[in-house]
Amino acid sequence: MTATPEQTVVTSSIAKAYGQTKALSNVNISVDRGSVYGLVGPNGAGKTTLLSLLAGLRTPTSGSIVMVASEVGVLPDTPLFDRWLTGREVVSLARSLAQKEIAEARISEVLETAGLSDAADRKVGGYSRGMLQRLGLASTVVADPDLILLDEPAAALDPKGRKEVLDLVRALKGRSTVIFSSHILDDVEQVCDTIGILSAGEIVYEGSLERLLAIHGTERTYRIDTEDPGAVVASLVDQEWVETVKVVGSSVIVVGSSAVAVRESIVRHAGKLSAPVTAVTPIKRTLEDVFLEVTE
Amino acid sequence: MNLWRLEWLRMLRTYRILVLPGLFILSGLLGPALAKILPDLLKEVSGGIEITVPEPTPYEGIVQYLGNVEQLGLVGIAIFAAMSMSFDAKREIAVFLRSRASIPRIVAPRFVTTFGLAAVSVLIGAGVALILTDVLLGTPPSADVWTGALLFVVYVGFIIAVVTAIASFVRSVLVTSVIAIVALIVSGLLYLVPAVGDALPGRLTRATVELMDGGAFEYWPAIGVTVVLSAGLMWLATNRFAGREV
Repeated sequence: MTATPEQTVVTSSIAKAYGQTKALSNVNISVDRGSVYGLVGPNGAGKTTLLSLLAGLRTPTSGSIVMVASEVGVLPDTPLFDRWLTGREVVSLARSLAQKEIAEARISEVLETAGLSDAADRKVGGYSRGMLQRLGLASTVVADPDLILLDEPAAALDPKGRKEVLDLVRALKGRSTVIFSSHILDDVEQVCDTIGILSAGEIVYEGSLERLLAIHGTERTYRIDTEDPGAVVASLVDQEWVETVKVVGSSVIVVGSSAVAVRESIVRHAGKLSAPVTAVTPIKRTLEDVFLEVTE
Repeated sequence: MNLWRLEWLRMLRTYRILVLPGLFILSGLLGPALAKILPDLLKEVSGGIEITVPEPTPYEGIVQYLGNVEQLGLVGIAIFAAMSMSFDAKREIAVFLRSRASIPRIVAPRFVTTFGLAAVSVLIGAGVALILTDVLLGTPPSADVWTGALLFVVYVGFIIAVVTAIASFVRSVLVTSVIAIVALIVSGLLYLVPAVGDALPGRLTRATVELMDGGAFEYWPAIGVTVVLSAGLMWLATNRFAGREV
């Protein structure tokens, strides 16, 4: 297995087990150079395990990983540093441990980008959670790594802190390849080019967000506004083109078995109903709806 | 900033540079002082019974000091070593270090600084004990005490190697410290084993007393075994750390 010049990471059938518990099985992902790849999945799906394997901090039970990166930066979900170090010393230590020579001026530069210039000479024991997260990011990017692995970098931050961290990640696009794990879909939607959805240790989708939403997000779901939702539901439950149907307020939400089938059938069916129908509208589903469907 | 400076700052800012030598200085002060006041203390608690206690000698002052060092000093060094060598105790800090540096690069400064601080502490403690013994009890056998202290420094390397090896099996600082202290106490008792006991690391802890008793310098086998065992334990620990997942 090899990576093409456009790829930074390619995995082949990675599996990881902890004793009898399978954490990952048959994971194949491909991450393009300079992209931001969102690794999405519910808690316990295997995101941290996969990132640890990519970072070389754990060993796969089987499968292989090809990585074309001379410097890899890793940020755990809750960065922690010796409390008695200053922010500047943490970044300086990260710089000194880089594989390549990094100018000292880079320390102040990343601290400023992370919004920590004023707090740089304070002990990190007094930093807030958001500041620690930004310091973690600053110490991760100080060496300009080719590949950056971020484990839930914005989880548990307040909205302002989340925005700051996401802005930092967005700024990395094109300069480094970023693999970004999260269960906050809004974050992923904001910064990622490609996503891989992990569910119970398996990749159940990999591709662009647009493609995901095109496949799962539109055209299969319609809302029927009616004065008699009960009668509409009763008429729909036995239709072979209907996958699910439910009442929400005075509307009926219908999910078809396929986009084509539901589009061809729903208006015709609505016209035949004795119950008065005022509107039939396709619903654009959110990423969250799609995520729940894909991971169930 | 680099990993060596990190360890230097750890010593300074967590006050280890004061606490560990402080333990040995305290031992060096308490040993001769206790030996000096022990006869008076015994008279005080005798309840009217006349007790004849011989005047304390410099020998007793040093023996009291060594008793403190073997207990307090050993526990102190083991705990401080566990605090340094258990770098996997907090996963986030382990990720920071291990994703950037090899295990030997992480371990070397921690071992050297802990060993250096402990060795200096042992020598300072011995110096304090010698001075106070001289002041309170009379001239002690300085050459024997210094030789014994240097042999104890070799044993300090063994203590830190034992702690490092245990830290490569368990992550918690507390558990590492407790197991290490128990292991060191047990290994110290192995000198009772006929034939091999004299060549084991625990022998080095008794060198000062043996030398003051007029014993000859017969510690090369124990020094050799201690150095080889320490190196072996560090090799084991390095390999264990490298294979351990974070």
